Amino acid sequence: MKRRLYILFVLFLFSILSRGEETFDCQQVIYDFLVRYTSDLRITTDNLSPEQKMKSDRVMTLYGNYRLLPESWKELNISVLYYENRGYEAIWSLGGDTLWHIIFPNSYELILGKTRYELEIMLRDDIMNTLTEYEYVNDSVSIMPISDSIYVSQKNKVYLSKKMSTAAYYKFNTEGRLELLRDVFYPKQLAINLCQFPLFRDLLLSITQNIYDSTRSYTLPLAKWLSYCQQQECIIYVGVEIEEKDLLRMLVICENKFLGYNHMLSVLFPVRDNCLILNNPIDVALTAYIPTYNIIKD
Amino acid sequence: MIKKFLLLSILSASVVVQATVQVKITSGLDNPALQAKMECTMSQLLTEINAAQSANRSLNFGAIGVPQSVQVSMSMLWENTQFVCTETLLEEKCISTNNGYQFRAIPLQIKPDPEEQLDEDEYQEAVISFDHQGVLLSFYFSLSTTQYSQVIRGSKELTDVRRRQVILDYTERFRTAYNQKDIQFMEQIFSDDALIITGQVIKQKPVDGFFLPDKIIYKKYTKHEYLANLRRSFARNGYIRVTFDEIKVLRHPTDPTIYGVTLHQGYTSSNYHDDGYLFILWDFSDESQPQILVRTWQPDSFNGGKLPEEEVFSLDDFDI
Repeated sequence: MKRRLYILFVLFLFSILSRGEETFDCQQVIYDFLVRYTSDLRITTDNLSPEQKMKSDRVMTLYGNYRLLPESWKELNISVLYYENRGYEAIWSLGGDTLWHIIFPNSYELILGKTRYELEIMLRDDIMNTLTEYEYVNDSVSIMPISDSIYVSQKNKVYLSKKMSTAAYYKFNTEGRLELLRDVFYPKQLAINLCQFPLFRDLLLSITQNIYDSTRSYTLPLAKWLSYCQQQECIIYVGVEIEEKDLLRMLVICENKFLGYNHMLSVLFPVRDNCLILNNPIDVALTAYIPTYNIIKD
Repeated sequence: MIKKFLLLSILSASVVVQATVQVKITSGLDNPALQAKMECTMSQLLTEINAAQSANRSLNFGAIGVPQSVQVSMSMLWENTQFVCTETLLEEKCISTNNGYQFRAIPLQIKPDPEEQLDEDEYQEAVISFDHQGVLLSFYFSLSTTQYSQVIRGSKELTDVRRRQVILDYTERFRTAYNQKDIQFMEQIFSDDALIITGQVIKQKPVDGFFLPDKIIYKKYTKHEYLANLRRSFARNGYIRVTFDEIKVLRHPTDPTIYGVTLHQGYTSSNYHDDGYLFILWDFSDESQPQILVRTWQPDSFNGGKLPEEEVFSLDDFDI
C-alpha cells in the first residue's frame, strides 16, 4: 500500500511539472550518496583534489560550493531531480538561497560507492536479504486476444527490439476470471510469464553468474529474485532468443534506469511434445551490473 | 488525365532506378589520373547497383575491377537488402586517410522489395574507401544503431541485443582491468594479432612568425609492444583511474561476429591526465572469449577545438 501511494505521489509530481522530468522526493539511496560524497570531498583520496575527484566522477557544479554546506543538514531544503537517460540534479538551499547546485550521472558505482566487482560479489546476498515480498500491482491492463482463450497485454514497453518487451499473457481460469497464464501447454507464453512473475512459489533458479575474473554458482528462489528486481525498481523485459522443438532460451533484461545498469539473464526451459517442462531448479546464466548510464541512447 | 499522370509516375520511377550515376571529385585530391580512376570506379559501381536493383538480380562486378574481398562483402550486404543511388550526379570531397582515400555520405536508399515505393525513412549513406593507388578497398553503410535495425531485417535480433549487452559488459571489464592494473586480463583480451594505434598531438613551431596548426601523428603498436608499455605505466603509477562515456556500439554490416565500440575515455594517473576517443574492434566469433582486434586512441581536442567526428576512428576505417 505504501509503495503504491509513493508511486502515485511520484506520478502526481511528474504530472504537474512543465519540463517533463521524473522526480522522486530524495530516495534514501540518493540521499545516502549525497551525504557520503560531500563527506568524501572534504577528505582528499587517491591523491586527487576535490575538483579533480568531481571531474573524474562527472559531478558538475552549476552554482555554489560544497564548502558552504553546514555540518548538519536539518535546516536545509534538498531537492533532487532525475532526468531519464541523463542523470540527477541536486540543490541544497537555505531560506531561499542556493548553497550548492550540482548534476551527476546515474552511475551505480558512484551512487552506491562500490565498484562493480564488489557489487557482483555481494549480489547473491543482496537478493537473499530482500525483505519485501513480490507485490502484484492491481492496475487495469488492456489486453488483446491472440487465440481462443489466450490474451496478451498491450501498450508494452520494449527494449531495443519489439521482440524484447514487458508483454504478459493471460487466460481465463475455471471460474471464468482472467489471470496470468500458467498453462504448460503454452510453453512460450508460460516461459515469458515465469521470467516476470512468481507464478509458482517453490520454483528455484540455478544461477551461473559471470564475474570479472571468474564465475559463481548458486541457487535461490525465483520469487526472491523477482522481489529483489521489484525492490530495485527494475523493469523486466523478456524475449525468446532461441525457439527449438525441445528448448526455449529466453533473454531477460532487468533494467534499472535510476542507477544506470542492466542485469541480463539467459534462461533455459526444456520443451517436450509442445509442453514446457518445469525443471526445478531452472538453469540461468546471469551477467549483472552491465553499465548503461554511459552509453549513447538512440 | 489520371491515366497519363500514372504513366508519367511509372516512367519517372523507372528512370530513377535505372539511372547512370556520374561521380565527380570536387576537392581533396591533386592527382588528375588518380582522380579519374576513382571517379570511374565509383560511377560504374553505383550505376551497376541501380541496374541490378532494377532487374532484381545479383551484383555483377565483371567490368568494374572490384577486389574479391569487396565483391564478397557487397554481395552479402545485397543479399540482406538491395539499395539504389537516386542521384545521377554526385559531387564528392576526397578525404585522405592512413590507407588512402575515402568518400563519405554517398546517398543511397534502401529498397528491400523492388516493388516498394521509395521512402524517405529508408535513406542511408555509404562510405567508399580506396588505397593510395586508387584501388577499391571497401564499401560500407555508415549506420546508426537505429538505422541498422531497419536494414538488416529478419536477422537474429535478440542474439544481437544480447551480444550488445555482452559488448558493454566486456568494455566495462576492460576499463576495470586498467583501474586494477590487471596485465593478465589485457594479455587475454587482446588478440595476438591485435593492432593498436595511438594518436599524439604535435605542436608545430611558428615559421617566420606565423603559427602553424597542430597535427596528429599516429603510431602503430603490436600487442607485445603495447603491453610492454602498459606494464611500465602500471609499475610507475600509484593509481590509475579510467572512465568511459558516450559509448556507442555498432555491429559490422556483413559480419555479425564483429562489433565496433567508440567511446570517450578519461585517463587519470598519479602524474598525468588526458581525455580522448577510444575505438575498440571486438571479435565475437568465440562468444565465451571475445577478443580485441583493434584498439585506437586519439586526443579529443585538436587546434583549440573538439576533434571533428569524421576524424574519429570507427568501424568504417578498418577492413575485416
